[in-house]
Amino acid sequence: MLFNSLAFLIFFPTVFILYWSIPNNKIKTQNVLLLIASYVFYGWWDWRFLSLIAFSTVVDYFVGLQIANAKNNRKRWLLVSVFVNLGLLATFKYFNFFIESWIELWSLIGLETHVGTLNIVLPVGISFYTFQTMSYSIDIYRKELQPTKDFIAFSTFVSFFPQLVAGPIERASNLIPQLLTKREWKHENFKNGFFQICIGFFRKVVVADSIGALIDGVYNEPGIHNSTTIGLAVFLYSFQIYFDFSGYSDIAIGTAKLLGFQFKRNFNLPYFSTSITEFWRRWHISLSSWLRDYLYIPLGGNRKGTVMLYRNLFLTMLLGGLWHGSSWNFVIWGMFHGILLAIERGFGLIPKKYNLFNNLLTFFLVTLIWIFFRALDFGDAKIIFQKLFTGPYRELYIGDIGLLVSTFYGLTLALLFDLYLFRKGLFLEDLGNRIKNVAFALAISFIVLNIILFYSSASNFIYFQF
Amino acid sequence: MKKSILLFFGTLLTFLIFDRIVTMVISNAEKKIFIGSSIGKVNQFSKVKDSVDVLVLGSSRALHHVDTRNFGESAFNIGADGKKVAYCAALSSMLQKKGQIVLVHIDHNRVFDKDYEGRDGKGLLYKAESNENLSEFYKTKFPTEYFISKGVHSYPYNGKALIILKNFLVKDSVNQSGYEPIFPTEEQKAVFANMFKEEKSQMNIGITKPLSIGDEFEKYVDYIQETAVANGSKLVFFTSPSLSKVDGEVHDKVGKFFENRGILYLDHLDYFENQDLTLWKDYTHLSAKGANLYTGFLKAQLAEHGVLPAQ
Repeated sequence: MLFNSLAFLIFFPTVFILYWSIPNNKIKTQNVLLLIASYVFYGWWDWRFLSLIAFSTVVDYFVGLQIANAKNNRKRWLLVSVFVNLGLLATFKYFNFFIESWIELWSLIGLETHVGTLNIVLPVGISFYTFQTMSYSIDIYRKELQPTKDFIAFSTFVSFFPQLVAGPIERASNLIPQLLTKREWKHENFKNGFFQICIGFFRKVVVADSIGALIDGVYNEPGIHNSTTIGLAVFLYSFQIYFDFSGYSDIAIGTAKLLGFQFKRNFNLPYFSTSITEFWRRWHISLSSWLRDYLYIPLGGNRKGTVMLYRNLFLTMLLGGLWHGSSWNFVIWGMFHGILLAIERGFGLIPKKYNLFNNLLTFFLVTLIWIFFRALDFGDAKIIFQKLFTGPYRELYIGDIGLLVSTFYGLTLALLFDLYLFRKGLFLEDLGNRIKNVAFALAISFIVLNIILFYSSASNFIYFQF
Repeated sequence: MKKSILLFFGTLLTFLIFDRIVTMVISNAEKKIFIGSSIGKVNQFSKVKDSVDVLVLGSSRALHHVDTRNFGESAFNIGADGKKVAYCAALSSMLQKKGQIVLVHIDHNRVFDKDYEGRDGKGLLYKAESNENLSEFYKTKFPTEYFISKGVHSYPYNGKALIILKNFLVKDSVNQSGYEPIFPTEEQKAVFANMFKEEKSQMNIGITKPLSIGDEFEKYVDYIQETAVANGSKLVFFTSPSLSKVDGEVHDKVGKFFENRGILYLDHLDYFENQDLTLWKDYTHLSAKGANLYTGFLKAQLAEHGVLPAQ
């Protein structure tokens, strides 16, 4: 089920009313309701893949208990969790990619090989929930977390619908204790959550989807578009992916708040970063911190000398790129980020204070690297770079001017809002409660009216494909 | 929780007031617009629909390919970018004149498009309030959208607000024939010539076999036919020339579909046999020169089939 669908607009209020109608906010009953709702939410897309979530849940629930109880075989149990979760990912997400790459590798030296590929669909959100459950077992192995014996609470943690298909990747240490504690209705949660949901919808359906409608055609056929149009598409894509994904996170965090849960912040105005290092502290925070804690640090982090530090940064970003999708484009995207992170670290290029030049330079670099992320293949990325840097720019943008105008209208509003948060040092997560009731009603009305007048027809969230 | 519920309903009330005021402003401005290829053109259509003898409905291919000036002064082209058969059905629901000639442009690939949901048909929802027949059309074909528009009045103006405000300030009008010729720029000519040289095949694009007529397509064709019968109109479906070709099986299947319904269908996809690129802007759109030539042929064909008087 998509957040931006009529089904969700009926589904969520129903769950919300049932959830808070449970006498005495009984934890067990509320958790059962959330679990059923989560499975309905996911099954709406394809019920057959519920078995994968259920399988991953059962495995990690038992593995968690075994790791905590075992005296000698703790590592072996941990490996069970890692193999099962990575195995699911390898099968459903990477199998065809590896096979095709293998065939291409041989064809480079003139040999033709025939290896069958699997005719399978990528289950939505598999990268998110496998990472979430795997981190649960790793935390227990590291003795940073006690396993839960409450199977319903654990199942709800794995499948909790606000963040099931596109994150934020919640840590068990944050979410499970909340699932085991009584949730009380708080007015401030209502204001914060409601406000964040509205902003999330605006970011997604007004800004990101309008940009998508404008630039998809350009990225699908870069060869037939002029440099001005390509340049505009490249510039706008940076905002499409940001507002698409941060919009999703806002709706997820806000929805969870209305149910009495606190998720971690997932975006913190990333385009105000003055270095790539800072960008990764502000962008998809739940993933970058996951990669830091479960990949970069175990690899040695910065503890094993300069060369190893660069290797670790590079490897982490490379695999982070691959996490996003089974294509060499994503690997190259991650690789460039890894190289830039290493250069910044090596030459001490991370500014301590905000400065506009570094901010613009960082945005420029991030925007260029997004080309690999969005282009359909490496050949298209090459065409885009060629057109971008060779021009000519004398021709005007060719496309739907009406859509361009309304896209810039939405984008301007969204950027002014981000600028306001940045200048005031505010966080969206607790902004709603800072606004007085009359202003709150006016602000929400303004946002919703803009959503209705300027929404672009429903398209999938970009991060669903990961 | 009481505080939250009060705030929620207070916000809802504020929104509904906002919604009413904004919609009133937009709707008043919209009625005065006679410029642009969407809102203004629909207003122009509303003005002339019950007086003209010939109407051309369809997508941008209808808009740019049929020079209605060749039909005399009593003809109007209401083709519009991205519009398909559902939009044509919505327009046809507004027609009342008896004995009108209604030409509806279709493309072969749309006939077999299983994913087509008729979303383009929602484009006239904002006019439902002022036209009883259109209102009835939406009530039956798009009940959810119709229901939402009754509660949230600004909903039908989605994607139109800025265009309305911009065009409200410009005092101009849509050309009387509705037809919009294309004069490709030198750059467009060069890009297309390049594409044409490199592209190998343009056959059956967007068509999957085995061929099966799309449910939504069928539904809206039936609706258009019903309104034409009710008005005693001469209804003709046609496909204008394109460089994007289809094979014999597709031609036959589409032809049979209309034949079985007793509707005259003119399939002119292959009319321009030679590959003179000056007739084209791209694979599917004719230049003004091409449109002029084609309109002459279309007129002759209509006369041959007794739709127009013999020339």
